[in-house]
This record gives sequence, C-alpha cells and structure tokens, in this order.
Amino acid sequence: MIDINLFLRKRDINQLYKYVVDDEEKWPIFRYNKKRNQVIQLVKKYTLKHFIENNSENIHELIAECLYLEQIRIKEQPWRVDPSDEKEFWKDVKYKLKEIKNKSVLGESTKQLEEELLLKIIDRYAQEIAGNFKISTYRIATILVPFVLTKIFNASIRIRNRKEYHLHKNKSYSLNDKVKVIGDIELIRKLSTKGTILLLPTHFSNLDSIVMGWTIRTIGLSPFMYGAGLNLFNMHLFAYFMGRLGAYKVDRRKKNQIYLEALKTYTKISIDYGVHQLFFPGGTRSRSGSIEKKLKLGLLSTAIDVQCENCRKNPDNPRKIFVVPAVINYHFVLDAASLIHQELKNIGKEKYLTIKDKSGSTWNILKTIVKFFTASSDMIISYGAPMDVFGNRVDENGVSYDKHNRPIRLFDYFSFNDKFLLDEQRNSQYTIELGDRILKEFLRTNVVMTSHLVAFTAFEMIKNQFKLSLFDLLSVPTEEISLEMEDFVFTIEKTKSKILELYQKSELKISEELNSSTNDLITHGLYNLGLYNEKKPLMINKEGKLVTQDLALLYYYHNRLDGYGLEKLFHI
Amino acid sequence: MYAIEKVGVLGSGSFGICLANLLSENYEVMLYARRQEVLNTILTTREYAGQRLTEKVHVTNDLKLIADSCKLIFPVVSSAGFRDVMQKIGPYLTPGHVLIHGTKGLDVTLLNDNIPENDFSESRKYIFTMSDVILQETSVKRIGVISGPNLATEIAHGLPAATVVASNYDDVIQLAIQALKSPRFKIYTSKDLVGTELAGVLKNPIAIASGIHAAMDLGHNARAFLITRGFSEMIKIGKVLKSDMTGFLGLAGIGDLIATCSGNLSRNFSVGYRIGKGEKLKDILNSMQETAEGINTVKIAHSVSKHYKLRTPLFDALYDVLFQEASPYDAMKELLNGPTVKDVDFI
Repeated sequence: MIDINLFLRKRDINQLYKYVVDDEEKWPIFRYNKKRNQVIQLVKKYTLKHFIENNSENIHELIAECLYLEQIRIKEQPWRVDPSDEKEFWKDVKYKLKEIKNKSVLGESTKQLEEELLLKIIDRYAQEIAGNFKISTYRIATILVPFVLTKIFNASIRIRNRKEYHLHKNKSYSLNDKVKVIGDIELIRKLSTKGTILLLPTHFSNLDSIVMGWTIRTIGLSPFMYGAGLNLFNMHLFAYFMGRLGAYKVDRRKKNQIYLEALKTYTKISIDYGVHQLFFPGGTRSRSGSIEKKLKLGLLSTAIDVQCENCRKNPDNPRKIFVVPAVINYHFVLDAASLIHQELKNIGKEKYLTIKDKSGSTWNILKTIVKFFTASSDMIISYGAPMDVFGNRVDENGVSYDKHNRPIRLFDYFSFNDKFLLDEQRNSQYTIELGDRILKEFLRTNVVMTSHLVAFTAFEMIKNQFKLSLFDLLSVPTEEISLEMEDFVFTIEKTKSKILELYQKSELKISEELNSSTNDLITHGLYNLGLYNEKKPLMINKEGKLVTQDLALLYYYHNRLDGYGLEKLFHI
Repeated sequence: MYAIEKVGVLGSGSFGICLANLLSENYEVMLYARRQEVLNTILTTREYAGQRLTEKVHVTNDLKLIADSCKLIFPVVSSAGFRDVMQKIGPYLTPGHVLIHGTKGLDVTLLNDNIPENDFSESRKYIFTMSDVILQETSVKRIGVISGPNLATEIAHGLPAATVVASNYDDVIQLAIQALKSPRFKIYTSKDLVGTELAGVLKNPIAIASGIHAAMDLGHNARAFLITRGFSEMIKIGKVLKSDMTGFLGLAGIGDLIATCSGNLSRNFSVGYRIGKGEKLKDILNSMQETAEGINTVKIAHSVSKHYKLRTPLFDALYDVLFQEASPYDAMKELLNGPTVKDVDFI
C-alpha cells in the first residue's frame, strides 16, 4: 500500500525552496517544447542556411560524406534504439544522390535538388534530437524518484543502525539529510529569471545527472534541458522518462557535419529561447578521479555565439547567458575501481598490466543508485559563483562587473570603436578562455571532504616511502605497504593546515567535518573513503597500521585533491 | 578596415616616442608621459630622447583621456613600471579596448623581493609576462605584443625594419597591421603570444653577454659561440615558463638577437660592454637614464633555471658576473671547460 500522506509530506521536505516560477506552463522548458514543431522547422532553416552560406559549392560532397559515415555506423554499431527504417532511408539518399550526380554530369542545374535532399536529412536528425517535456510525467517523476529513494534510504538507516534503533524510530530522513547544496542559491534563483543559465557540473559518477536534476528542483528552479546520450534510450524505462523530461538526444556515433551542425543549431535555439541547460563540460566521467583538467568546448562555443548574436541585436541590453560551474562531492564513487583501471591503461599502456575491467552497463547504473542511497555517506553539491560568458561577476539583476566594480557592457567584447564585428576566430578564443575560467572555478568550488584528505595524504606518503614511478609503485604488492599511524596523524595535520590556508584564500571549500579534531577527522575519513567499493583503499590493520587493499583505488581518491600544488608538502 | 580614430602610446622612452611617430604616419596619437619633467620637456621642446615628435603626436599625463579617446593602445613602459601604469589606467579601460604592448621584460612584483629563494614550482604563477599583467589589472581581453629587432634609434632615422605582432586574436593582429602600416616598417604575424613575449625578454641577457664579449675582444667565433649557446638556453628557460618554441625562431627571438648582439645601439649590450671594461653594475645603473631590462631578466632566469635544474651555463656565468662580481675572464674559461654536450638539444 502506498501511504499518500507520506507521499505529500516527503514532497514538501524535498522542496527546500519554493519554485521561482510557480506556473508550470510558464517554465521556459515547457514553452519551448510546446513549440517542438516550430523549433524543428527553425533547426532545419538555420542548419540549411549555414551550409548554403559556407558550403554552397560542396553540398553534394557533404551529403556523400554523411551517407558514407552513416552506412559504416549502421553496419558496425547498430543499437536497439535505432529506427527500423534506417537502412531504407539511407538507401533512398544514395539513390537520389546518384540521380543528382547524373544530372550534373549532363550539365543540368542540381542546386535545388541537392538542397531538398540536405533538408530531408536535417529534418530526420532534428526529429531525432528534439526532446519533449510533459508536465504530467515530470510530476510523477518528481514524486516517485525522491519517494523511492527516501524509502530505501530510511529503511537502510534502520537496518544498519539496529543497535541505535530507538534513535531513528520516529525519524524520517529525506534526501536533504543526505545531500547538502551549498553556494549562492538566492543569486542563481534570481538570475534564472533574467537570462539563460548554463549549469556546468564536474562528472565523476553515473549518478551525477540524477543528482543534479534533483538539486535543480530543490533550489526551486524549473527543469533544465539536458543532452542525454542516445545509448541511454536503449532502455525503455529511461527512454520513457527522459524523452518526456526535456532531455534531447545526443548520438556520439554520428560524427558527420550535418548531424553536428543540426545538434548545435538545436541547442543554440534553446539557449536563445531562455531554456536553462545542464551540461557536463568534461564530456565523460573523470577516469583519474581528479577534477576536470580539460573541457569539451562545444556547448560553450554555442553560448558565446548566442551571446554575440544577442549583443548585435540589442547592444545596450542583450539577453544574457549565465554560467554556473558546480562540483559534485562524493566520499566514494562506486565505479572508481573500473574508472581508474581504464585511466591507468590509457596513460600507462604497456607499463600497466592488469586483468580487471568492468564496464558500466545499465544494470550497473541501477545498482549504483540503490547502493548509493543505502549508504550512509553524505554528498555535497557545491554551486560556484555565477558569471557571464566572459567570467565576470554578475549581480542579481544580471549586470556584469569588471575588476574595478564598474558595470561592463558585453557589446564591447564584440565590437571595436562601438562598431559590431562578427569574428569567429575571436569568439573561439573567447570560448577557450571561458573553458579555462571554468576549470579554475571548479577548483575554487570544490569541497574538500575528510575522505579526500585522508586518501591524498596516505598516497603521497606511500609515494614518498617508495620513491618509484607511478606504474612501478602500483605494482608493489599491497602487503608490502603500510604506514605508521603516528606519522600519518602528523602528516594529516600538516596537509590540513595547508588546506585551511587555501580555504582562507578562497581557493577551495571545506566540509564541516574538516574542522573536527584530527582523530575524528581521520576516523570519519577512513570510514567513508571508498565505502562500498569492493576493496578498501585504506584501512587500519590489527597492528594498528594503515594498509591498503587496492593502491590504484587509493590513487583515484587521492587525485581528487590534484591541482592545488599540495604534493609539494611531501617533497623532502 | 577598422574604425580607428586615435591611437594611444603609453611610455615616452626612446621606443615609445619612436612608435608614436611611426603610428602618426596613419593616425593621431596620444602619448602618455608619466614623469612631469619629461612631459614638460616634450611640451616645450617637442623633443625627447634624441627624437623630434611629429605634429600628430599629442603628449599628456592624463590616462583617462587616453583611455576615453583611444580604443587601440600600445603600452611600452618598462617592466618595472608596467603594473603600476596598468593599475592606474585599468579603471578606465573596457573590454572594447585593444592593447598591444612592446615591453621586453617580466613582472615579478607578486614575488616580493627575494627572487632566488622563492618557490617557482608553478613558474607562471609568480612570473608574469606583460600580457598576464594586462589581464590581471584590466578588463581587456584582446591583447597582443609587438616585438623584434626594432632599435629605436634606427627607426627614428627612417631606416627600414621588420617586426612581429603576436596575439591569440586575429583582430588584434589586423588592427596592428592597419595602425602600423608604413613603407619602411614590415610586419609579420604570429599566434604565439607568450613565446613571442618570452623570446623578446630572454634575448636581453644574451645581449649583455655579447657586450661583455665585445669589451673583451675575443673575436667573431667566440661571439657566435655565445649567441648560439645563449639561444639554446633561452629556449630551455622559455619552455619551463610554458611557452611555445615558434616565437623564439622568428623575428622576436633570432631576429632580435642578431640586432642587439651586433652593435652598441642596444642598452643591454652597452651594459655588458661597460661590465666587460671593468665598471661595477651599481655605477652603471646609476648613470643610466632608461632601464636595461636584461639585468632583472638574468636574475629571474637564473632562479628559474636553478629551480628546474636546467643546464644553462651561459645564464649562470652571466649571473655570477653581474651579481657575484665574478671576473668575465674566469666565466669565459668556465664556459669553455664545461662538459661536452649535444649541440642542439631543444627540438
């Protein structure tokens, strides 16, 4: 039996903030998807225009190349989600292309036929990419997801803490007990009504998109648009929900120019329309466990282009795009072992010999979700300071400010002597600089948790003890590795004080537990580090020494504090 | 064509005035003079540093006026005063401004005093090129550098010369080409901003070494030896300062080396020459009107090299001669007696 009261109560608990915009029909994502057909027409129009302006002489070759790549894809990488008429469609394209070629050899004009065929392909892509948003599905999802997760979460707390059952008996925990959201939330909420928000989180775990979707709702923002890999649509349940929750489809197999341009145009139109976007700029999950060091600039470049266009249209008051970097902080990542093995294989090549390699299937994703919410470990979503696409600070009215606190006119970036200039090279350089700015902001937004500190310190101590190259060190038998607790406590204190120093300078954030006594900190860190990973990255053995069951895993968690120059503390 | 109205030049040393005159062939120029006495001299005589200002050059000490009336500005103040000028003009600059600097020095003001003892493990966190300083102190993004064999005295005499303009932005390069267009001044372009900046900076110590050598009269072979080895060390140091090599291979590197190491028109060369003749660095510095950027660069380069354990015998010897009062003869002897290594090891 479903307890309706619990249902409703849970819903309140999970909603920390009221919706900024109450009326669901006024949400940008709803209005945008309501015009789905019009959007598709626009995608067709602009994509075609792009090719006519830039490739008008080579449309035949453009289609031929696309056809070639698509035929290879259909043959070599078929997916369940692929439409059944695919072969037929491309066969038809091939036939028409041949016809056009014949006519052109005879000297007839084929321009119109080529454009018609191109438009047909764009239409197919646009239909596939475009998402949908159903309020009813959204309502069900927002009630169902936290309800189920909270149920599992509460049950697991009771089971795990049988001894302290009385403490938990009448308590009901919500997701908010588990997930902390920090950052200037009020500012982000206000900005959401002034322009388009580009939410850019780091990417460590399969859970990230679900967790981000959930926090967006808790801070009272309307749902964000999200580009979901087409592979996820292979699974019916995912496909059903995502297809109706504003996700648009991204097919990483399709690398042809026509598809990529149609995809870019679709996101461009949605950003321009004011639909907030969720995008993992790292592309895939971090394999090394460190915060992203390089970003995929695709969507960022689209954002700069839209901002440029808006400045041209309205020099003094352009519609703005606000960039909000975010860092998701976990004590443990379930797939950590397989991720780090992929990373080491990748960078070490023949130097890294291993047998272990588990890939993430959809089953694994579900397993991750259940395991995650049954573990007692906390997580922190840290929102960075919102900025414009040039990395400038913005106030609640969306006004940008320079280093001297003077308001900035974004039009200036795209002009010389007050004359607007369209310059793709300049815009692409702006994109590169925005990427660098986001990477810096990731480091400042990152929250150092006890487990990160413990893992970092232990691995650096081990590295120092053996003085070997990474791959030689990783092949040292784990039985040979141990750390004296006394040394460890001493070194933790040293590292911690450096971290606190960086915190004072606002170069990073710290979790509450980091302020507790060194012993408590170590206990907390050791308990949470790699909780639920099959092998323990770090533990205390019977003799009271610190040992590891998997050094590569410890290396993975250690990497989380990469980028702050902390390893310098260990160079003797 | 860009709608350039007026062009600003910050710094009225010999290169600043030379550049202002060159720019005035195409546009009205606003020249900034920081020191009151220089401003007065120019206002009354229209002459400074041995050059006469053309009618289209207007001199002022009002940075706001320059920022308001010029969207394209060339800062060419010495590296020691660069940050100060940027801090002063910063509040008047907008992202609509384009800055192309011509200063061949580094900024270490954030490092405080004791350079050799400091921690350089993240080299570019403490050692800044002038474009870094512009980014730090202003809201300008479109930045470029002009560098190369551009001895002010020769350009002032109307002799032909070539230069390189480097920037990450095509429009900065195009603006420079448009503003500096002249039948006697040939412009080349580069996308390697930091490499071009560092090449110009790191060649200065070699010019000093060349001057020392000239005073010692050791012959052409030895000079070629110093320049070539110096070039190889420049690249090594440049690399750890996170720069590309391309900037070094062009006008800003090899080109400028040839010019400054060949004669006494360069300030750095003169400093070296006087050291070679037995004068003390302190006395030389006291008698000079303008900065020889190379002296400070030797100090910075030496500590960078030490930190990264680079093999840079020439820079080391130069450091010993300038700051440890080592004799140039002993330094040369040491260079000749060093271990045998590969000739080209930087590619």
